Amino acid sequence: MTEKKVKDVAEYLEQGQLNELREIITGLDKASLDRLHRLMKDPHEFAIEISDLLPFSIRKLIEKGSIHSSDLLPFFEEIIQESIQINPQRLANILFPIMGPAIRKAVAEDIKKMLESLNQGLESGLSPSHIKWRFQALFSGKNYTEIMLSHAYVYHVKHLFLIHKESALLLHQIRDPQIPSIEADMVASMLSAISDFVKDSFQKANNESVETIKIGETNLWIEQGPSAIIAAVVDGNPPPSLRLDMQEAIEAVHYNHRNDLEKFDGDTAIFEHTEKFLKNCLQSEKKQKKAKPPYFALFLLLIVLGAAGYFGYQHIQAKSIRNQLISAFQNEPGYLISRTGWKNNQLTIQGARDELSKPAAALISESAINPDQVTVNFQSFISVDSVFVIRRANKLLNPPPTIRLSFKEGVLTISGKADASWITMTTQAYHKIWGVTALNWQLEEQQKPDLGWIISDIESYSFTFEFNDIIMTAEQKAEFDSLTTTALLLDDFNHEQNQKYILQIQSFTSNTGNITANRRVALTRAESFIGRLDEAGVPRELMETAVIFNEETANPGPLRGVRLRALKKKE
Amino acid sequence: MIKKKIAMVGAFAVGKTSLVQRFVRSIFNEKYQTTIGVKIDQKEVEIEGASVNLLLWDIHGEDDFMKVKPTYLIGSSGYFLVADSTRHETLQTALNLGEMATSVTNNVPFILLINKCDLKEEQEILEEDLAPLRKKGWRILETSAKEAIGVEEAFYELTKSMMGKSKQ
Repeated sequence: MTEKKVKDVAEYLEQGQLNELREIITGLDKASLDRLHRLMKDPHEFAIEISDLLPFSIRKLIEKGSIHSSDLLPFFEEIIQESIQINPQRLANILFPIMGPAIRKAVAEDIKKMLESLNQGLESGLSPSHIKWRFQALFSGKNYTEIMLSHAYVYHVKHLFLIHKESALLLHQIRDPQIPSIEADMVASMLSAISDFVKDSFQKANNESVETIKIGETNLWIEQGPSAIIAAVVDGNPPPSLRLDMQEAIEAVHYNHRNDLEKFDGDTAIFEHTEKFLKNCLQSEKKQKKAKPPYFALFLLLIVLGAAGYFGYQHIQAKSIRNQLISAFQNEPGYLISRTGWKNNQLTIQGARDELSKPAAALISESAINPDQVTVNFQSFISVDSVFVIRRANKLLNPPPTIRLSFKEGVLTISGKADASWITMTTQAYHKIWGVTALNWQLEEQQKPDLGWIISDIESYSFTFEFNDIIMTAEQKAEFDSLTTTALLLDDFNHEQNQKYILQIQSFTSNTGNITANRRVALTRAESFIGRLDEAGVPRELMETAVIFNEETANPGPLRGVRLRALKKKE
Repeated sequence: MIKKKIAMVGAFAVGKTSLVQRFVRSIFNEKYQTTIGVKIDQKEVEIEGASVNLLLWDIHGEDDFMKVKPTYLIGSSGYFLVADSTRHETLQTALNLGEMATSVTNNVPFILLINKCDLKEEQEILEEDLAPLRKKGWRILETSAKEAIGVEEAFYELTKSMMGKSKQ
């Protein structure tokens, strides 16, 4: 054996003895000690080790009553609140899969309940049994809801009292929200007093006590615990299982509040936590009713829908009639509709109307609307619609039945047969018809208008000016417009009569004073006439000027005057 | 909410019910109606800023035929021993009931009320009867439910004592 090997064996033996000694002192082998050492040194591993134990420890603490689940509630609430503050979407995403179905279910349930409640309400208002219950409530002084509920349930726990056994003080109470509240403290005390009285009177042992008290149709069920009792006010015939639930509740109260009950000195605030135990006992069972369709609700629904449909139809029909009348006004020639309105059961139509159009009253009477519901307000205007131009032409010209009138783009077309005098009158008067700028004669050959009057008409005009003046007065201008209308027909006259008449504008002056100046003024006046007539459309080649000195002519005219003569053009 | 049970004990017709009615409803009825068993009333009072709901157990009067049941007194936070100042024997009844009350309650506060103190000329319970009790530390108040003398004070004083004890 080498020296090294001897040394290794010695070390091995020394180590083995050391382990043995360590195990004797601590009761742990080396592996266990190493594990403990690791846990102490490594927080991560320590956390993993604790995480297995922590939920179990909390559960055990709750079971022992050392901590209450309500003690942990603030931590969870705070965590959830913080999570929502940081990222509300995250919690929304977590809840999303359950929120949708839950909301749908709640809405469906509410609608079902509402329909049932409506039906029940209607039935309760009308059915003989409910009328009887109303009388019962009236004469007994009881609340109608209480009587109705007592008939609606097989059994119904209305109130639950948790009473401190020794002091008979009410620790906590819950009740069906539909039941009116009572003086619970006094009831609890009285209940204890009755129990004590019964126990004393019949000399019952301590473990024997009153379990049930019956008052008419109301039962009082009492469940005893060592320090507290639960009393339930029950209508009807409760099932035996209620007794078991009450026993469980009183056990839970004692289990969770043993110390509070033993040290009770009148402060009842702590016993609000017992509500969750008592709630299990607030039971009821409704009488089975034959499932029948909700006739009343359906009937009411039908009436409501029928009424809504009728009034809706009436409304739509009335609106349609109003719209038809408005359309009638809009489509009627001679009407311009600017505004319509429906207010206070009154239809208002505003706009403009040609006086030759159909009267508004006639349009309203043709409609199905009540005339009293219509107010019209029309300004007058002149329509250039062909219908109205022709109407105005008929009114002014009064044509014979053999004449037909038509109008397009300012031109009044006259066709058919008429005597010469009517044709002459029409030629002179047509310019008074609003919208007509020209005539288009389409008469039979022999019925061409006689334009012989033109010559005499043209020659009847005479205009006199002040000395050295060439400007026409307003009156002269109007007269000149009339002259122009006739002068425009001269060309037609030439064609008709196969003549070659021209218009000579004769400007009269005298030899008095400056002859040259007189001539110039007279010529200017004549040329201004030609210019105006030229502008009006009289062909230039049909006009000529003539300056005439009255002293030099056998047929003098007005001094400083202008007149027109129709002369045959020299070949 | 703090709740306290107060018991009223004494011989019959000493005015226990009248004292309760005076305190709770501020009324007094000359007509005597005997209490059978126990009658319970309640009144909320303010003591040093705290609301206290008093449950008042008006226990039937004791006589030779009907003894007060100790169970009615169990759990009381305080009690009144009531005697009729015009009937000397009612003081003894009150003292007897006091002994019984002490045995079933845990040394809770109590006050001896000498009721009907308005009937001065008919008084049979005299100061020398009460002096030994005062010496023992008993709290004794003269009351009249009819004239509303000392009633409020008695109830407030007892409530104060009960609250003080509960704080301890």
